[in-house]
Amino acid sequence: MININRLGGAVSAVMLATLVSAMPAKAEDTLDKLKEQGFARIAIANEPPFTAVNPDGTVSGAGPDVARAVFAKLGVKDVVASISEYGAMIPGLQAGRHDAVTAGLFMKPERCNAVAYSEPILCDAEAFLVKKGNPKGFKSYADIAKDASATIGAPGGGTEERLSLEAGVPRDRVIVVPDGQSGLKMLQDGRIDVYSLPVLSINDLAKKANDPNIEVVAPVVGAPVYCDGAAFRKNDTALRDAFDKVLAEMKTSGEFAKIIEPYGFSAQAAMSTTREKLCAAK
Amino acid sequence: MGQWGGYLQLILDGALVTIKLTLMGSALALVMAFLAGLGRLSHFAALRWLATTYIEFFRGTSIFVQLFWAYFVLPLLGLSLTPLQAGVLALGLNVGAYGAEVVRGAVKSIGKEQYEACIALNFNRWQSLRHIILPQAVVLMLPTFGNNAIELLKASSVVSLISLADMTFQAQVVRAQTGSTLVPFLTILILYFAMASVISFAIRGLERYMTRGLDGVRT
Amino acid sequence: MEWDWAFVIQILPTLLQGVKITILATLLGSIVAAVVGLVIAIVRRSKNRLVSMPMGFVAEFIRGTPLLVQLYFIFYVLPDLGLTLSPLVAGVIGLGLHYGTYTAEVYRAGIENVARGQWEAAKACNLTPFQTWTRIILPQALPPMIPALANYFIAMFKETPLLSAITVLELMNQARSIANYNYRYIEPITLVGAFFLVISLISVIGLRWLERRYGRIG
Repeated sequence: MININRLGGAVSAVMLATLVSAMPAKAEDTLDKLKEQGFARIAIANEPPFTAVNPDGTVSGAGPDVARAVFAKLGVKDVVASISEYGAMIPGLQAGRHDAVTAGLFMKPERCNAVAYSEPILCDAEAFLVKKGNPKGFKSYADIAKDASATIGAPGGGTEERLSLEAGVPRDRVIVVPDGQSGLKMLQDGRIDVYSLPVLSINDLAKKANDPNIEVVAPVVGAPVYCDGAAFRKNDTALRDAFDKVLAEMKTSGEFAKIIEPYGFSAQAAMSTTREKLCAAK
Repeated sequence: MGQWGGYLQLILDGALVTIKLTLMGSALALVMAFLAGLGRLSHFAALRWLATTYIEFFRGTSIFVQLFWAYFVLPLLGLSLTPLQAGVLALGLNVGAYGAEVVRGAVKSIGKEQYEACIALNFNRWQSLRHIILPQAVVLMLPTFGNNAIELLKASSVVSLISLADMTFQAQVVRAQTGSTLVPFLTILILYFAMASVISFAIRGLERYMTRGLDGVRT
Repeated sequence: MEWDWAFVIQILPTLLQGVKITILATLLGSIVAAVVGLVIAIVRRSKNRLVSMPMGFVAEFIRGTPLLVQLYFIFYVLPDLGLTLSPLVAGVIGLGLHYGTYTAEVYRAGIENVARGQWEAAKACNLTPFQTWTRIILPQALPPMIPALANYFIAMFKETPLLSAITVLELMNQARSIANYNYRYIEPITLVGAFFLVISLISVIGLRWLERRYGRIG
């Protein structure tokens, strides 16, 4: 009937062009690139006091504040943050979506294999948020595994999800919760029995909730203190080393403590351990 | 509470992103609908095959899966898109596949005598399509295109799950900050409905405009 | 990053767990949508405009707003109003209500297709309205609607991944959990896409068969 090969030709041309264009930029010197563009893209969660998004859309929290200060000293004027699920951060980093992750992504051996961590920045133990009086008496992730009817909420791809699974809680009893407020609400509504986050995050959430019917269990038995670091792509070790150098200077000058201690973090905890120790820990 | 003003601003910022996504997505969908719809009517088997594959693929896999694929998998294959680009691409390609069937149906429904008249006038195929067939077919496509645009508007809320700050995403942020659930969600439901109503009004207006002077010509 | 078949084999059983929930949600959602659509269609036919107009508005509103936001509404807002549903039930109700507004249009067209004389004959035989609907109108109206209804159920199936946003552990959520745990997105997400494509293509064949068997309306 009608011959429309011209249009059809255009279809395939467009499709091909889309597929072929935009090959990934190879990391020759990432720091130079960041200096030139004037900003670094960081991945954050929205989990105060680690990372927080203010009502006006600006980003604060201990992680982004440290990153902003270090990058400024490296000559990168600003950081641009995008909110991400914990589990999506490392793939996003590998996919070139972020230049660094500064979100309280605690160092664990399998993460150390996937990314290049800086020296430790934020350290914290784990905590539970439970109904008042902790009716089921949960003290550890293993306790939750033992109770066949108990459900635990945790951020997707976060340390707490992994600790629950490793303690033997089956997948269908580990509920992936998108954010702190949802976790709190699901606990109040009786949809989960426990909501687990690092101690400082749980305290922050409990304080904001101001609900007499919930209480905090901290620290969780059997879960050691973890520390995060800024995470970079595996082949960006030059950027990581530059970041480490500035971070070490800030730690000695006391500037580091000045940034993180108002948020409740201990600078001493971060300075008394190293990446090497944390990445080797089982 | 004066605080609500700031939160409303946040939601309106999101509304802007939603509108942008809907407009850009619809533009891409329109282009794809015509390319693939006409491609399916082509004389070249390869083109028909290409268009059919595109249509079946994007209609067969869920928009949600396509969006995640565009966002997480494409970068690994060497094509890194911003969340907005990934959103527009997934929405446009998905809705375009539905639109293609509309284009094909409308073109095929134009009477045989119209084609015969084109031959009598010695038009080549492109001229027939451009001057005779499409002007009539487009009028038939409009109402369904309007529905498709509304489907696209609704589907755009899914981008909030790849952390693009659209209206749904901002409502979640407001909820996380205030602990109030009813107000932010009800606000955006009303805004979505208002946007959908604007689309259907605009399409009806366009339809009236394009059928001016056609009274009695078409049955 | 390269495709890893060993990883595919390793995650397949977990993904199949999700497939079960996806199919369950689709089936239950379809039942709800079939019932809700019929109710909407019948109420909208009511001569009492105080009944038919509000129903019309509610249906238009649900149709004009995103399913995702409706799911959030059911999941997060209703507990404040005293109704706490499990994630799967909340999801099924959301799917059913949303697609009920689409199936209502199918019912409307199907009912209008029944000849006027049938209504008049029912009246002449002194049948009650309930008898008229169940004995006369629906048995004639329903069969031609089946392909169009099935079409919407297939569309609903493709929207079930949205349930992952309210923590239902369906296929997409399983895939994301796997991706999060292993830092690998390429295999899980691609497999989910492949699964949807295969089921959709099969259901399109089924749909063509239904159309041949029952004819099509609209």
